[in-house]
Amino acid sequence: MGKGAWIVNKPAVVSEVIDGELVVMNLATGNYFSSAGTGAHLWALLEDGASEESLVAALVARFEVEGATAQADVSRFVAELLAASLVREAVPAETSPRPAIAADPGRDAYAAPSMSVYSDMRDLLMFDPIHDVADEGWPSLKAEVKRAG
Amino acid sequence: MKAPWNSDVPEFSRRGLFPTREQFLVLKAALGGRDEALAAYGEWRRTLDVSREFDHEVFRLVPLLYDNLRRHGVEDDLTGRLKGAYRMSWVKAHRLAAETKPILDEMTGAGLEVLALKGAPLGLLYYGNPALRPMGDFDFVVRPDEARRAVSLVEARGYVPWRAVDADVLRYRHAMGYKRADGHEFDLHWHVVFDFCDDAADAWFWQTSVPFELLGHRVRTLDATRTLLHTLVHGIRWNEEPPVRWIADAMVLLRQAAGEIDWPALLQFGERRGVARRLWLGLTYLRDYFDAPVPDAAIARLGRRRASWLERLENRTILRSFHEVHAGALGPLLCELAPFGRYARGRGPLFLAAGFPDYLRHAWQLGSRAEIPGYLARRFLKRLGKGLRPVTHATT
Repeated sequence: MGKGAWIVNKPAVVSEVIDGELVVMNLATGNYFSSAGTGAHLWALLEDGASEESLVAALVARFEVEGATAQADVSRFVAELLAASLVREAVPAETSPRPAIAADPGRDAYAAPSMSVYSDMRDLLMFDPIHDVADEGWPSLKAEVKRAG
Repeated sequence: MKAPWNSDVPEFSRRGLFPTREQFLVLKAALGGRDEALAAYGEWRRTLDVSREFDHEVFRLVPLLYDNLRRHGVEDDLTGRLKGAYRMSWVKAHRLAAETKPILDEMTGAGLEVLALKGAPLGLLYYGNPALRPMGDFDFVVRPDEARRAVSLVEARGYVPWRAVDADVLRYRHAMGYKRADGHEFDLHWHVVFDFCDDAADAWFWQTSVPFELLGHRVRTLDATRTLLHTLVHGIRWNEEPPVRWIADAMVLLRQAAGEIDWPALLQFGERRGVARRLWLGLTYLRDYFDAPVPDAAIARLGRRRASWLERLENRTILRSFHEVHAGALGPLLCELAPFGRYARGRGPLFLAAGFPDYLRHAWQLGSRAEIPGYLARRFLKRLGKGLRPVTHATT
């Protein structure tokens, strides 16, 4: 991944954080994504445009993770977002300079950022979100509903 | 918490017009403060059979229920599913907006003045989040004198009305539902409300309309007073499944904008336009059971209002069960006379008498007025046949 900066691909991409869970939809493709923890944290920075270095610095400051691990995970995560057209390269005017981030002494446990992808949205919207779903709720379906589908 | 489903409150226990017990509990859990919401949610859960399909109106309240419970820190084994229903509503809201944007682009691009009605402005302006107020389609109003141009434009873009929009439809109806081949739907209105299909009423609704940013366009929407009136008039009518969403809409609106309500204007319009009884029913219910900030004087004034014969006739047909109304020999005629009476309002008894056959021809989709007696005879024979059928079975 390059040294450029990235920004959320609005207005085609919409997102919301629901109780710490990031949900994202690409209106152009119809695909739906969800992410928690570190993914939601990085997304908040990408809303305003962020360089890869600043994303890595933010992870290291907030979570218990080594710089090299964070670097590799951010590169992979951004590549996933680019492949799904959820972010695009930002022009310099779109990124705001960020102050240096001080490390939080009580840092959170780290899990690599990831996105769950749901590309069969037209089908998923046909299910009953109360009765056809797993305990964590739509769009996670019950095993028997998945098998039947 | 008061219990409006009790039989000692007959006005509000009328089936099909006000919430069922389950709907009432979910409304309280979705709208209430922490203690009230917890109590109502707990009572609902104690009687809820989760394996059963949700009542449609309850289902439409689930995103708001989830949001209120989340704010009050309530979690249980159903939370994941409620959250999932909220996620689904969020996805549907964004998809619907994206699908609707091109036709709004076309309408505004053609210079049509557009007023957004119902779900979209309620969701964005009062709920503050469209996902909390699920909707099936957008409602766009154009000025009555722009109706033909709007119809031509919409139909040229591949939208098909559920009934051909001819001069009859433009004269007697307030709006038309349109659907595109890919399934996208929206409603085009040339009058704001079904109950008031005339220029003076439209002028009243448009005159205080406010700018509204929607899908990248600066359109208009009703002010708080007229949104409340529209919500009540639209909601207070009998339905097989009691339409309870008007309660949530009105409560959210009143909490956000009670200070903006022009009560004298609302009451005056309601009295002049023959909906005072419906407004009284709705506002009294909201005050008594949801502590809505409605002035007592407003309710007292509406309660004192003596209804005209037309209003009484209309209330007989729309506040009672459809089955009950149609069981009477004159039911089908009364059901058409009430809306025609509104249409003919102020045009004199001669217009009412002479114009009604033409309205029946339109409403029953007949080729000419001469077909009315035959149509009525067929309906009568059909009813007679239905009435005789059990006897026939019993004797064979």
